[in-house]
Amino acid sequence: MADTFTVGGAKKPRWSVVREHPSAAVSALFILVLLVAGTVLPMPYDPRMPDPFATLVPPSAEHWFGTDSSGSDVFSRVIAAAQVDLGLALGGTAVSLLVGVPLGLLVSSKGAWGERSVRALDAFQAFPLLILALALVSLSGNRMSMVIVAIALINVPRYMRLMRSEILALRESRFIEAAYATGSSRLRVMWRHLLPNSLGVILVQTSLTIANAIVIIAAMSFVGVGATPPTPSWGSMIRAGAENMAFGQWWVAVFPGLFVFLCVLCFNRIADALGDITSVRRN
Amino acid sequence: MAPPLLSVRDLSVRIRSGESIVHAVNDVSLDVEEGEIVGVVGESGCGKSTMVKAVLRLLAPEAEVPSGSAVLAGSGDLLALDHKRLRQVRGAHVGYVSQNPFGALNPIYRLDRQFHNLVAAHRKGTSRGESRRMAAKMLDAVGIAGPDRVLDGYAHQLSGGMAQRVVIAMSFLLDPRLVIADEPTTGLDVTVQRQILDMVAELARADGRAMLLVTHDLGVVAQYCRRVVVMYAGRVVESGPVADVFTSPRHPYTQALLGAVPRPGQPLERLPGAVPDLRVLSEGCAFAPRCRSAFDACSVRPEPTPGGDGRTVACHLEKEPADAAAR
Amino acid sequence: MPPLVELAGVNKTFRRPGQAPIHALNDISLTMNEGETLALIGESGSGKSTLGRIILRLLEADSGTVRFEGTDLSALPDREMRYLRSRLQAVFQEPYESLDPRLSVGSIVAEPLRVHEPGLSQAELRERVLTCLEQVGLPPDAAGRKPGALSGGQQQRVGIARAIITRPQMIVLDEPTSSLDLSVRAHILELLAELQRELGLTYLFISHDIHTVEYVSSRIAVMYLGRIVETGTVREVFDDPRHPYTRALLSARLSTDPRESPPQLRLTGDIAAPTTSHHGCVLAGRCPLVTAECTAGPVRPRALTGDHEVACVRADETPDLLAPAVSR
Repeated sequence: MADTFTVGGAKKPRWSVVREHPSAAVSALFILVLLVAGTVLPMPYDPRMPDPFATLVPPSAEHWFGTDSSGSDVFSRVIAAAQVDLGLALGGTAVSLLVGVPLGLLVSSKGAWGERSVRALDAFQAFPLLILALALVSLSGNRMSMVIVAIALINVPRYMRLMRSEILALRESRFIEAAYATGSSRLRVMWRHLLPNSLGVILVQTSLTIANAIVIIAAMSFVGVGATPPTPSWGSMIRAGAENMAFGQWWVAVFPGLFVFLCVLCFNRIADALGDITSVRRN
Repeated sequence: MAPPLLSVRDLSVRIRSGESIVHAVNDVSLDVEEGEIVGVVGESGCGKSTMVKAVLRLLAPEAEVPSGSAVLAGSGDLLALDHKRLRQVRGAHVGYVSQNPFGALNPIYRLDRQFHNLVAAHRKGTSRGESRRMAAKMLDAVGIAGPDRVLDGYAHQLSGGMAQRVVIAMSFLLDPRLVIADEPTTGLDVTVQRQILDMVAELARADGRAMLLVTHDLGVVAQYCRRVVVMYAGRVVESGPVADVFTSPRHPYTQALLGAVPRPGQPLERLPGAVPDLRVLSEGCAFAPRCRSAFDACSVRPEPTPGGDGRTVACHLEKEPADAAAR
Repeated sequence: MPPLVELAGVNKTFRRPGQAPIHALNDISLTMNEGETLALIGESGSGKSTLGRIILRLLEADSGTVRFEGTDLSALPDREMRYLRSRLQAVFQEPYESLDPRLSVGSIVAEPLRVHEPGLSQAELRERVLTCLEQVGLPPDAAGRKPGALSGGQQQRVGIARAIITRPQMIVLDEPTSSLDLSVRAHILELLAELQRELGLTYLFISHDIHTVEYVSSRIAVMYLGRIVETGTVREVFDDPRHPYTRALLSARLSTDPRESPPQLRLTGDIAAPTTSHHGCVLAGRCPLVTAECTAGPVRPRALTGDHEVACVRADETPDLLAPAVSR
């Protein structure tokens, strides 16, 4: 929000944020590189091209992460899968956010109506949502857009709950009462005070939601729902590689697994840093 | 004359805060004699709470005590005791009452058990029945009618005033010679405050006991304390008998503080400026930037100077009254 | 001149599911005249803050009327009530809590203007805010800072600036100095007095601090358990308190002069739970003067001399109830 009264020099330079949260900055950079690497950087091999003469080659200078049972280069596939998996996770989270936050605001009214919507949410969340999501995606014939819907289905109720608890807590603050006392309307209080003050929590939750979505997407494609071969995805790669594990060919499953792990770790670090940055410091 | 019950000498506390060091308490000395209540007053950030926490060894790990001693008669220097001895002394020889009584009571145990734990920690083999009898007697003494009902209940069932009475009963339970109370009645209603202070004062002065009472409320000091220690920016600026200090304050800060008490028909004394940043240790008098009577000598820190009448003032105006008057 | 604020028969009960209802206010009638400072004094649970919120219509009364300049606030539609708030402002106890921590001081002070005078240009807005900051003794560069970067006294000045920027008739001050240090409190009290003189403000000063109340107010209403037990000018109440509760409250005050330790009237027992409903006088259970008449039926305030009104059946008597002073 533009602030007529912020004087120059009062705000700290941007770089200090990076300096105070180095691990989060590295995490963000890593995610960014992963997202664009598949299109921008030249890949050593075509991720979708099998090579029948080089199946299950262990990691080497030629194939950094080795090759899988059809001879595709694991490194190229892991990088290509990042775009698919991260894209779906980000898309699903964005939809959850855009639907969940306004709905959350709507149900955060005090009184019987809010109570009733929370009870409806309880019933909805008691339903095994992951299974519902799996069914939804597979019944649609593994449409990618349905993966996004599935992620939203799981996360919209979480956002609504979070929003409601946050707003209800903020409503009790003295400065909200003071805003009403100066003559602000409900809408104004919502826009100017409630929403900006819950922004930090939303950002943190969003980062955690993305991490969670990555795991869910990997789990879905592990069981063959959503992104399935030949589309590269971490989950399906782990699935395919799991059969080779027993024979000591660990690289096929371990590298995609490592990337799932790294991405989740990164988003958790980012969430931590966001929590720090957005909390208001007292003197 | 017998040595004082508690004798604090040159006590300093530094607290690490990020990259800087806050000089929270600087060279504080004070005595508490048997049978008296000594008040420590000052505004937020003057170091009064930190000072007593240092004496009780209750400081947070960021704080360190670079110098000083706090000798309790019969127990030695509290600041030099090992942990085993410290545990014996705390509770049994020194009682502590904090501002928030609910913080001092465990919410998940019945009060009866908390009293028992306290007694058993110091007197091994005390039976439940015995500790309960002691607790009931003490609760009766702090004005709680029907102690049994309270002992069988939990802390959250008590009102603020009742909870503070329970904490006070605990602090006096093992008959300590000294009780240190940090803002014991802040946040309580005036009528309740008065009841509690009357009761505490009676307990504290009985049988050669004594109390160190930290408060920001000048009325509490005026009505209940025999002597007072006034603190500003981590230092003692003035100390002496309340009857003298409060009727003819000599340090300009004490004067300003008393002048800021609202009295109908009299203008309020408005002290300019703000409390100094304790991250910077000033060379001169810490109060000088706000002092109406500051003069060139104030660039050197005045030492607390005993005046012979039991009063001590840390101000250059004391030594050179003629000089100051001639300005 | 008609009174600026007039409350008649105001009741407020907080009902919570599964718990006993809290009778916060019981049959409150009160008037305030333009330019005066009426202090509402009482201990926790007396309902003084609830009453302040009802006058501000941050809470709705269950029954009774609240009139401001003759307008019945409870009948006012929301939109008109919002408009009226430019003339009826508030300052709260915890200065930091009452300021949005994310906005700059300038934005916080500008907020009421943005609501009530949306036609102002940015330059005019800035000008008004800076003038207002100067009025409350804040430097212009405070406008760009966040509330967290200010001291408690400065934060309360920001709260006061926000309250006066729309040039109100009246301000409800809810414990405005209770969380402040003595020397800071003195500045804020003087500032409030100065602003009252300059702007002709009417104050409702809610406080539990007897020293402060005696200093600032022209009239006093003493509250106990949701009722007003005594009203009068500051001198009437302080020099000749007639309700036993008022006497107990005033005599519990600790003088800062060690030579003065006036005798004290001690009430027996503790304050009753606010969930209790009382048929007769609310103090009957603790009062040393209690008679059969006290519990027979409601005890209504009745006029003594001047402005003095007391809700006690034995208000005409002045028996000596005082215990001797504490010994040092």
